[in-house]
Amino acid sequence: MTISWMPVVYIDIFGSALTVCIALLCAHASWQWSKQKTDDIFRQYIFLLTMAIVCFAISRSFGHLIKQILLLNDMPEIWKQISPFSGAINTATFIIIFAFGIYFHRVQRVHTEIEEYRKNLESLVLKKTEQMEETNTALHNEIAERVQAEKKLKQSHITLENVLDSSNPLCITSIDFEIVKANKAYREIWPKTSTKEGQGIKCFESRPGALCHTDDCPLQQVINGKEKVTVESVKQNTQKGTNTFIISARPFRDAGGNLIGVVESFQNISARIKAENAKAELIDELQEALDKVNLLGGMLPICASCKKIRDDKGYWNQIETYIRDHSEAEFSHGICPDCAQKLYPEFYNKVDKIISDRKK
Amino acid sequence: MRDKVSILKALYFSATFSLISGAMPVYAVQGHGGAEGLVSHQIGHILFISGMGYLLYRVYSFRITDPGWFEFKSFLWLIILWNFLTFFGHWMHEIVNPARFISQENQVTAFIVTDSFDAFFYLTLLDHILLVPSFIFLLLALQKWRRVQ
Repeated sequence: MTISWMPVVYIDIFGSALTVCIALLCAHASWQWSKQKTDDIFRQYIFLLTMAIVCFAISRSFGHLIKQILLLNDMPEIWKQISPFSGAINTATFIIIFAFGIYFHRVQRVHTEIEEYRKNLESLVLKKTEQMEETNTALHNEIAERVQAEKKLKQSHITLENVLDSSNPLCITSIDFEIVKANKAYREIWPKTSTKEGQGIKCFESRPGALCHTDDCPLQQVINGKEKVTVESVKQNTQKGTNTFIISARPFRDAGGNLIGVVESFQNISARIKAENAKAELIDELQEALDKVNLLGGMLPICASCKKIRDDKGYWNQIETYIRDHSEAEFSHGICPDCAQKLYPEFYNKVDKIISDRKK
Repeated sequence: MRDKVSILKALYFSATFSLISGAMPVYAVQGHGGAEGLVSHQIGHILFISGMGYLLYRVYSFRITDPGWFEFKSFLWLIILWNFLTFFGHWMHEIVNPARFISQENQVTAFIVTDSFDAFFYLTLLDHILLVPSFIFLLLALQKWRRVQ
């Protein structure tokens, strides 16, 4: 049976041309696919494998096209010279493709491992991110709580300051006798409560007094274990001189109940003492006056004839002498009309006549 | 230690001298003519088949069912078949009876098929029937991979 050779020629020509076109499309698709994810080792491998196959396809197809063109144009000698090179190139591409083929397993394994590592890493990153977000949220809440607590603390501090400033002079002194805190009223009396560096000064420097450095010092007594000490003490200050205070001292403890200082309040009783002194003086004066009034009161023994009064010692005194001595009264001596008429009748009559005339 | 080194040096120089003095004339570069080109090309085909076969085995081993891998496996199957076809084509071309080719003005115009050998040889010449579809499958695989990922 004789078969036409033309199908062989046509299929070879069109097949080669079609192979070149498809191979180029493959190269393009592979290149684009690999570019989508450049760090994907498997894509890069497939790209290189495809390029090797494309090289084979192009070299073979061009070889066949050149062969057919040369044979159709009656140039078999030229093809004979070219064909070894074409065949050698094809052989080289076969070896390259083989080399790529046997590395598929390793590349696939490395790719799988990398993907697993990546998934694990992503999972780990996701987990850590979630943990960080949780921590962040907790931190955020804690910050909000702290801010709220700080606000409350500030408010409490302001309230405490207001309460302190509205009370009697008050100060907190450490067990080292250093003034830690003093209210406004205290500072008005003793302005010096701290050094320029902000360090508290000693109490006996701020408000020196007679009890300082003695066992009667209220601070010392509280430090020694007393729960409440109330003393009266005279204290000096630069502006108001010397004043007397009732000092109440109580322990100042920390959250654990340990003694860390002493709270002292000062009640200025100078005005009260002054008033009390004035009152005592007044009472004395009144008492004295009362005593005098009492002397003129009561039963007085008096002579029915001469009107002399007998004193406590038994002496008879003229009535005016007695009253003068026992009262504020003074006597001026004169004569009444009856006595004048009786004692000096002539003189009395003349005077009486003159007065009557004047009246008329 | 030094005695041993001296003995080894003496032996080395003696061997070199005896080889040079007793050497026969040789060609420095071996020739590669005749059928060697075909043999190397056929070895290339075998390597191609081996590489693609190994690749196909690994693809089946991994049991990858993602989109595009069916097309890639089809490409591998077809390219392996194409390699076998062309491998036999090259081999048969060397032993086919030249009288089977009918020529006119140095151009082959027909082929006489007398038995299955001749028929199979004629079939091997139509290898693009396998090569073109294989490349189409490769293109489809790459396009699917590109679309999916």
